[in-house]
Amino acid sequence: MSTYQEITARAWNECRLLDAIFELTHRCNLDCFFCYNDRVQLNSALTYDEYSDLLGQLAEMAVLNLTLTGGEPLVHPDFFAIGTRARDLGFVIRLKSNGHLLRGDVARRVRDEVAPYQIDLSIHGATAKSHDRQTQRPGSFQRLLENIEEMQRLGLRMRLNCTLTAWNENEVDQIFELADRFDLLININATVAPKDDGDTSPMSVAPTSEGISRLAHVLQRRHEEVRSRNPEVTEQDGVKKEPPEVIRHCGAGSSSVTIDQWGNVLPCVQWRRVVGNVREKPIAEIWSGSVGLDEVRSLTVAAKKVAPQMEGPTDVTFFCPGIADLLTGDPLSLYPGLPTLEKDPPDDDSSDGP
Amino acid sequence: MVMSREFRITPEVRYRIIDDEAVVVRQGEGDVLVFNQVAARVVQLVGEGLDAQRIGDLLVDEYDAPEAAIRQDVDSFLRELEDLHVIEALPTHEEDR
Repeated sequence: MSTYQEITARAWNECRLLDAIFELTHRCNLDCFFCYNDRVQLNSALTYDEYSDLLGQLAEMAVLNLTLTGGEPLVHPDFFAIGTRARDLGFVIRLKSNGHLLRGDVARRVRDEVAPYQIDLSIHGATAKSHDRQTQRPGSFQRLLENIEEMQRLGLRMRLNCTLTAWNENEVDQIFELADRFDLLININATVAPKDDGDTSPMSVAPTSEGISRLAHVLQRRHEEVRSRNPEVTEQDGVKKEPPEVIRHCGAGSSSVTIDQWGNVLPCVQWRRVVGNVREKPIAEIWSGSVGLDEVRSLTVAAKKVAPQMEGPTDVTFFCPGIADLLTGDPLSLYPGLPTLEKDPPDDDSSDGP
Repeated sequence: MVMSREFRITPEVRYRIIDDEAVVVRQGEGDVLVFNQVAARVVQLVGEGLDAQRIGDLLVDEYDAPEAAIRQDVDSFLRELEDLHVIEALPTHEEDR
């Protein structure tokens, strides 16, 4: 019998669709400086009926995980109808949100009607100064903290997502302390992506190499603290299990797929190469017959060989073939602004960011 | 006796049958369980609304093994799934009264 880790590894290796991401809208109620979404509206967006049909197709394919994201997914007019349909079809739902609307009746409806497994909340710093600077909405930090407390009272599971930037890289310790205060897991990503249209202006707030090294240092320290408190269990039934081997750099287009609000099928939210459209073909046909997806799958195998790999904790994301494709036209090329890690951790007395 | 009872998938549970195995997510506990082929079939049939007797009948048809052993396995899997809160027993008609 397999472990879940082995099942996900097989999905990566054998191209079995396990995760679908719906980008419901690029609209948002905040205005983050580094947002990568291209907010230009193209054709008419997918209707509720089209989403409902698509969800049925994905359930037929035994897709387990569904992420509802945006923009801010909660501003989509049919968010609750789509979420309820997904719940009824048995998806494990993750909601990626800025958290601004998740209070009161909206939070209760999310719990009762959508029943997500987890809500991933974006946080941009440990202080109102850094968070609100990013969202360009005064008071958004305080409101997020209040909403987290309210959602905890409602029994909603949450995780924090933070992108390391030049604006918050001096708050790494405090960001972790904030997550600890709420007893929430936090994922810190060191990659600031360009906009979907190739505009690199968001990358002007990319973290410095010192900031990334500091993050890696903190992650390593926390990892060791956890291990000292909870000696790792590496044996199951007396048999030491090696982690399953994966042949790809990432699961883009091999175990996961992104579908934007116009029905375009993309390998990943960061890899904006259109490989099909669900208005033209059933998703199962796209998944099994798209020439574009075949190419992406070959590229993720190749990327594993060329991508710089990080030693130690893996919470810091480095090379992204999607960003490489966008910035250089070559998914296997190193690109300007690719985060790099200094060998030696910096001193604790950090300098102020810009 | 378990074989005479009806079950349903616990509302907080999500599952998919993937390559003959059942991947079961217990949302409340926040964990993932994986069950083998036979248990996966039992989960699937509970999800389709079949009662314990009918699940046993179908598995007797599907597997080349002694009927008594299969029914015992089904009984055992149902108990295990119930203990893990993956499925829950529906009230019997007598309990309704």
